[in-house]
Amino acid sequence: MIIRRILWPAAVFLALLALAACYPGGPESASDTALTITSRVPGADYDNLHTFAMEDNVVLLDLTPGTDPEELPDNVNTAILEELRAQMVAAGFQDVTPDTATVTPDVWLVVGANQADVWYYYYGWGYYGGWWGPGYGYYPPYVGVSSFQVGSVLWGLIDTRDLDPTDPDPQLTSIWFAALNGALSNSNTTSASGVKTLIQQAFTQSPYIQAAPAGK
Amino acid sequence: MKSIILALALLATLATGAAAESSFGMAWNPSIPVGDTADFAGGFAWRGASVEWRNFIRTDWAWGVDLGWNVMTDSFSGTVTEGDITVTGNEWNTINAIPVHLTTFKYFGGDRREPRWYAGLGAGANWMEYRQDFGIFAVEETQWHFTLAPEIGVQMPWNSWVGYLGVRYQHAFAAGNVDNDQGWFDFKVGFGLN
Repeated sequence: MIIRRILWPAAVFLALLALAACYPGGPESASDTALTITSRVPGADYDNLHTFAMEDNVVLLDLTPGTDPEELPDNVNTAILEELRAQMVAAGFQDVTPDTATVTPDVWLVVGANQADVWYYYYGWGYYGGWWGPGYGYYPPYVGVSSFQVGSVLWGLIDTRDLDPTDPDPQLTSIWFAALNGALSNSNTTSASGVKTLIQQAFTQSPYIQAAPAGK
Repeated sequence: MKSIILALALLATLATGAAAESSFGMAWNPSIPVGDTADFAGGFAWRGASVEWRNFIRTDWAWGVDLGWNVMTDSFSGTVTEGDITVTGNEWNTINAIPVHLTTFKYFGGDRREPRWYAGLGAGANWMEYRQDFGIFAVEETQWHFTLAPEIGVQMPWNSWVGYLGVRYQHAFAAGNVDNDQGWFDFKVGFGLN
């Protein structure tokens, strides 16, 4: 009776305990952990935006002193830039090239990626030799990120409407910040496809990033 | 926690034949959260176990102790906006509950060759851990709760494979940073309790 009533059930019971886990479920892959984080800036002016410009490369943000940042795979780099540009155009913005004194974008989109831990961001403006005049070089605004979680893509939208080209230390306003946390995995193919979906989500959940209708 | 349960289970196995007036039981305790607990981690939860000791001071009345473990979990996907910040991602919620109760049971019928219905009440404490995983971030809160746990069930005849079947409602009262009462039904498929 002891065997039938106690020992055999005890074996089943202990097996059940062994199968149990304190934290069942939970993230099991990079795509499970993906977060799309966007933030609008209080007081920012989202009206009367028409044109944008953006960098032609995703800036690798590697903050480990003395080490060279790893290259972002070309297909991932291209996927990020193409999707950001496509979403900005879909939001009604006109893509312009700010290489002349006559073409100035309303906003500048800067994008970076890194593989560090805790994050915060800042932005600034670099320049050399003047501004948009003949013979002068152009240096885009930048967002600096001290660190962020593994496999992240970050971008900011800088309002350049009130920029004074003659000001050597202009004060710039970021009107939108977005971060795709967990966007980059070990698989470049997965990263390229997954990051597009996350970028689309960032724009979907930020309806205030919308160009003004033409003529206004 | 697992080592404690394993030790008690072993003790139960060894002690069952030694005391005629008392017995140990071990149960699988799947559960169904209700109320605020269901909002956090709802749905059927198959992870759960308990061990208990019942001491019969009369043929129809026993008191005892029980130690349990329930794991309840749920997942959500969606978008949350808080102020100027909007976040989209997956969220996993998990509750680990470890109840420790003093119990008393009234039995209806004294013939151990027949199923015997019982009704009882447990009172004690529940150590509960609330965990939220959001993307790669996690937040945990742990809290002791005072708990009442009424239970009804049937103790099977002495020669059956299953020792006892029961359903118990665990009500953990609000405490600390947990503002609302917590509750869940857990079902006992028990072995032992001869």
